[in-house]
Amino acid sequence: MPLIHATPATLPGAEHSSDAAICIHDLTVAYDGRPVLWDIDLDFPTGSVCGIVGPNGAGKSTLLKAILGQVATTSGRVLVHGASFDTQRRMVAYVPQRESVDWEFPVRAVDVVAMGAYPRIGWFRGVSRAVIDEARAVLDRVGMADLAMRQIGRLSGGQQQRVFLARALMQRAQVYLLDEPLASVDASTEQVILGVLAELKREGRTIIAVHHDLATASQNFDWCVLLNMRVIAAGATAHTLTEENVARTYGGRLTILSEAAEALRQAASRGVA
Amino acid sequence: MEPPPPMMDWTLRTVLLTVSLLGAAAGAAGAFVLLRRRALLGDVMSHAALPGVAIAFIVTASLGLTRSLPALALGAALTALAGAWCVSWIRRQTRLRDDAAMGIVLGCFYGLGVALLGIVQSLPTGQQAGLTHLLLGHVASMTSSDLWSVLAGASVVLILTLALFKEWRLLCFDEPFAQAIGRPTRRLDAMLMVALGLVIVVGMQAAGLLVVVALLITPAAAARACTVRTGSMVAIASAIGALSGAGGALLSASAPDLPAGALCVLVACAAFLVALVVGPAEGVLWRALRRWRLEARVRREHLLRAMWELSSPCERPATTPAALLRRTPVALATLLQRRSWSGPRLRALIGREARRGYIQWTATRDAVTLTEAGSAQARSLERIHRLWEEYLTRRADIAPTHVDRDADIIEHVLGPELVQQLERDLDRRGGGATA
Amino acid sequence: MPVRPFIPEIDGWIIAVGALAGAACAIPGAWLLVRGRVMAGDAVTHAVLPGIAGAFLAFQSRDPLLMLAGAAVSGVACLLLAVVLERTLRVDRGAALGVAFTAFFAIGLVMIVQGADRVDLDPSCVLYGALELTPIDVVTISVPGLDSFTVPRAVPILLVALVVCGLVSWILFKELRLSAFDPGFAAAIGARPLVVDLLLAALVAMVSVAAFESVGSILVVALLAALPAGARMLTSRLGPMLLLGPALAVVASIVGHLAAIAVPPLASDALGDTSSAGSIAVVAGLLFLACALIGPERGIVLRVLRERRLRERIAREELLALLWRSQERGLPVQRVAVREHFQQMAVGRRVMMAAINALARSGLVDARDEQRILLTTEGSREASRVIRSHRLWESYLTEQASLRPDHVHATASRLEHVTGDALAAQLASETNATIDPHGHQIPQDEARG
Repeated sequence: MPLIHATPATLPGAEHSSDAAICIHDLTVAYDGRPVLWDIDLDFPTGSVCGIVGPNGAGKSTLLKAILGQVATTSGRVLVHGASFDTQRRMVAYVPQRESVDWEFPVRAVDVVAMGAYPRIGWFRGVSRAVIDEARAVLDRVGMADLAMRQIGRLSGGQQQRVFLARALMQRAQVYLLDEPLASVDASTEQVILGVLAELKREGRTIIAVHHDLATASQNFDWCVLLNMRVIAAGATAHTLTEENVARTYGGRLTILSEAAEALRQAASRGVA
Repeated sequence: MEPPPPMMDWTLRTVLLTVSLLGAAAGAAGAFVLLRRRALLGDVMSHAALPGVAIAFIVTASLGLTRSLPALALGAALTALAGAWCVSWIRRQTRLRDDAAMGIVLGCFYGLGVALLGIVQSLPTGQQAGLTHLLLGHVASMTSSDLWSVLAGASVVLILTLALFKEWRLLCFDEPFAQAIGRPTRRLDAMLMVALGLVIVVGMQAAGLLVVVALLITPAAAARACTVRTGSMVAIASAIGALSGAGGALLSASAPDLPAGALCVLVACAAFLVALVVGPAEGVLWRALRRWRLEARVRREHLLRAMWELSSPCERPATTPAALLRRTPVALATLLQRRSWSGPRLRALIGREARRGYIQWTATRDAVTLTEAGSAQARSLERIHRLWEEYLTRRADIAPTHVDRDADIIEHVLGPELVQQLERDLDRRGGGATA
Repeated sequence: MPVRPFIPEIDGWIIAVGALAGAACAIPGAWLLVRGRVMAGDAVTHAVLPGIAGAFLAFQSRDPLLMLAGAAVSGVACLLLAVVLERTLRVDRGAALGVAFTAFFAIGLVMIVQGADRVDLDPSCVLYGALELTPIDVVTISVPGLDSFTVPRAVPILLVALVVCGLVSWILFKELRLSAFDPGFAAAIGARPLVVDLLLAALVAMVSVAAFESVGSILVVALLAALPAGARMLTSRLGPMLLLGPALAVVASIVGHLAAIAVPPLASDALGDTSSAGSIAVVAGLLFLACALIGPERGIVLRVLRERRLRERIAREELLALLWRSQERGLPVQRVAVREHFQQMAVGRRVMMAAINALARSGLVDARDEQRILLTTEGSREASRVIRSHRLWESYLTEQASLRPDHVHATASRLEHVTGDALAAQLASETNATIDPHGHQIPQDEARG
């Protein structure tokens, strides 16, 4: 029995709905002569929380990077609210995967959050007090107000993830692209992130998140893409992720272990608790 | 060119042999240093050798001995190794990265050398003249004693490389794992540094600092672009090193007003550029070619499949397989809407397929038809496309990463049984490959 | 030779030039440091050669400004080449730099040798400037309405370089920081990290060229690397780091030059003073070392102390647990057994004695007996807390993480020492066990009865 029912997603390209936040048409991306994404046709509906779900190596992160124009495409085009990404840059916020950053970098949480406001500030002008205050307020929104002045590498994994979400919030965008926002974060961070995403949805913004775990996707997203190099299914979660696909979760039980690991780390860096 | 006098010939032969040997040893050691992601360590260590020379000079002078080359070389080797140790100490203790540690060690050790040489200049012995020239030899002024020291140093390095190849490869690839399975990683690293130090000390005396640094880095980088296997990388780096040394020496012999050392460096550099462009593993040319081929293939598949999907058999119902291949024309306007291609590009694509005999323009030239050969091609593309779709859909939990999903070789990738299974599934679901 | 007297109008200027050069280097050096590109400084100092030779051969003039311009152009070209090799052709970062600068240097050498019959150019006079000679090479600057000043030519050059670096770092602080911290994000929001890369390459080339003309290329490398690294050891914020680097430069210049005058004559009567540039480089390295040792948060001394304190606490808790387990079995603990236990844990005798003495002082154990060590009532309570944490972890790991009972002891031993009250309570709520996987009773939490 097929796990997921294929839907005829590749219909003629002219019928792209005009209310889509992101239209992807005919997209093929290859690394080094090997296709990673094949013939992707997708419309992410405005104002929904969309999940991109698929196995490792399915091209989920590449899809986000293609939307951001960060990978060369073999064919196809991407439209953000009806125009190319280059002209709509300010409408898109991006939360990269955490591995891509140098954690020893001398920068505080609040500075990182303020980076989200850089496009608004423009070149040559400094970061004003007002922006810093706003960054603090956004940090408060993700429950990090008391850690605003901490160096970024001295935060736990979940806290770092919240900082990057806060930076995206600072961008005041219409579309939020998140790469694995819930990967290896603690339970409370997951709560905070999902809460913020729900708020954004209420404000009518679009969220597109890469998600590794089929099991939790149905709770977190109201629109889903199943991706494995090509679109296997896309649409409302209830139709794309059927009940029997939701595997037994083991995530909750391992959170205490990650907290213990954090305690070990803290002890090593601080000596006596 | 006039035949060179016998004396020249002998010198040239010495130079050739020495520089080639040096290049071979430097290539081998440099390959491992590059794989350890510390390509510039050779540069750091060769600068860190300077204080050693000064210290050795001061020590021998204060003991009342005459200046001796082995003592100076020993001093140079010792501070070069001390520099390498400092780099790893800084990295372990401070969480600064390699580049910062290397910059600090290079600048400060060399500074120490300059300060100590300043002291040496004011020593009353009078043997200090040309001390730095002892340290920094020139390819042109090479002597047979240089040949012997390079021969000895290079043999030790090459023997070490052969003996410790497996361990060094593991050290470069996955140090924590090497440690976990009980390999003495610190000592292995130290051995690699000793090899590097040997190349540097004998090489600097024979050919100068620039040549050694370049021969440690450039052949290894060239070899990296040529192969994805450690063994062949070390061998190729060694060969490129030897050839650049020999090439530089020969070139400078044929054009006497060109400095031999600089020519060695430039020959190595040329080899690097060639490897970068046409290297079988990572060559820019092949990458561009692969990319271009893929783009062409994708466009062609798009066109043929679109034609197949938008057309229908001429006679209905199509009773024979041959009848299925005779398709109705497709209007250019319809085709244009189907995909994100521009009019001129679509026309170009059609033109190419028309030359292949897969597509024909209709008489009015506002529509195109698949020929029978084109239909057969399109149908097979459609089948392969559906098979992949079926595979990726049914096995959503595994992505066949790092497999070239060249449509033609689906059987090779998935195996004939799985392909048959997929075809049966497709037929059962009514989405047959000939739909 | 006695130490020569300090001559303000010479030594003062040498120190000033050294400090200016250091300050000008420390600023772009800091940006290189946070980007992981410190060795670019070394590359630039080699890569300027073809530019100098080219300017000289092209214009047949020794005008220093022309040579500096040529040097800066080829320095930037080399760094750009390295960035292109790394970014688009996937060459290892260090190798890309190494290939680029050795090639540039070799080309420079060929140019010089080729041009040698027409011109007389000694690259060493450009590459190895002498700091000691800077006070002799003076220029007169006349300020309208004021006096005219006669200063070493290096001073206005370095001052301009310093001001440019400072201004660029100030005005483009946020762009430089962003593209260094997260180039992917910078590209996504359209901040053009490559333009910033190019700008930084230009800054590095300008500063190196300005500085090594007066102080020599090697000092430039040392200052670019060691001063910002020292500042980094003292602070984990970029702004202060950018200011601390130049401050360290002033210290390095003063101490370095004075050492160059004073140390060799003091060491031996036969010696005169030595190279100030070399000496300043050494002092810069020593300053880095000092900062690395004493730095707050990341300092080596502090970290060693912390590790020792943690080790001692673990030793104390291990001792308590050992005593408690023996008591559970109704056995008194012989000192010999304690020693054996700690030897198995690879804990030194000194740490063990310190643990025993510390526990005895705080009244948790009774160590008055020569042969045995006994737990006091208070010690017993403290020990039961440790044991409870250990056994709870063992239960948790077997039950929830499905580890085999004989595999959990080591993990639990590590975790028990870092388990605070909150974590212990959470742990207890997730495991209802009263018996650990090895069949021992888990002590109750005495605070809660």
